[in-house]
Amino acid sequence: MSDHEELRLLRALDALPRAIQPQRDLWPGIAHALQAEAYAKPRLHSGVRRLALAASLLLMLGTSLYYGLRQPNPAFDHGELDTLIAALQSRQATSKAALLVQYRGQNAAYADWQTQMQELESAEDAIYRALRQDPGNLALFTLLRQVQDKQLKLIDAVFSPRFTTL
Amino acid sequence: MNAHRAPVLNESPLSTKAPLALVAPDEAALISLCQRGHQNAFRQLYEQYLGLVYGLCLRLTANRALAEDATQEVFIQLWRRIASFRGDSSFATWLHALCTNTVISYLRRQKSWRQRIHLGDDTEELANALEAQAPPDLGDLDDFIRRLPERARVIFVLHGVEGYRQDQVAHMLGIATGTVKAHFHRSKQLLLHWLGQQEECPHERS
Repeated sequence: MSDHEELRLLRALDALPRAIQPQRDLWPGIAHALQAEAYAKPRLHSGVRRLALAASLLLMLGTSLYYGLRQPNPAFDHGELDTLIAALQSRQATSKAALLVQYRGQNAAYADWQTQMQELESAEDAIYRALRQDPGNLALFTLLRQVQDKQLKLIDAVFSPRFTTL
Repeated sequence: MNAHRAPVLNESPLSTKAPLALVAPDEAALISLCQRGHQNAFRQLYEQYLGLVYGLCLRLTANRALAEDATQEVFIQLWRRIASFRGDSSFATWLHALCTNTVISYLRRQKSWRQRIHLGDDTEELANALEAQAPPDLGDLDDFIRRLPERARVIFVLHGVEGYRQDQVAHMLGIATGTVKAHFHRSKQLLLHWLGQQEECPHERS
């Protein structure tokens, strides 16, 4: 190809308009599509979107944890359950011992508190037995926590009675 | 499609025009409003860029109805993606890349695309197809470009008119760079031939 032809093509390219206007109004179709999208999926501010995403993730995490505890976990074998129960028993024993050390030298307000404590400890043992049968039962874990709390509150009540004045 | 590839718009190897300089003083505010979902602001942005977007769509599709559809699709995509514009490049450059990729994607969905772009990579086949084309009887370069076979036309528009590098065009179209080179060369030859014919027979101009 000759320089003349090349130059002619360059000139023709330079003469090409960058912008060309369409012959019909294209906006109504675009606006319709945007409206349809707006109805289908409301646009949220990015901050709100992030917050919603975080809330969704938390909800998913909570749900997973709940159902993970609620439903039997095939991977949760007896060895692991024994370890878990031993850890719970140990933690409770440590908490009780710490309280008793704190109240050392003080007289018990109730003579039969140890009977009450034994009843609560029996209940705790019964719950551990039930957990071995049904390790996915969340209600048993909740009950266990309540019984353990009662044991600690009993010690508090026996050695540190609070008198209220009306 | 490569919609998120960093848009690098080079000046055309053939054109001597200055690069696009389209950032209006209040454009940042307009974009910011669009990013927060203001359709009125988006309408203004649409009016500002309609000609450029439609021009590119028309050159790539070579068909008025397809270009109108593609233009609408580009602006719908723009509305969906404008929140991701961070100003790393000029808005015009970013929009140009979005437009190019959207149109290529649009063309791919047309029945003829696979046949015309991905089948028959053989440059000889292209050469034969080009030779078989009757010389156009219309006057300006746009009309000649429209008469190129689809693959040759898309390649010529992207590289010769819009200034994308040949490797970028190859990446966009999913073909080899050598194929882009060959098609561009043959397209240029044919355009020069048609322009020469037009010069010899000016009466054929419409």
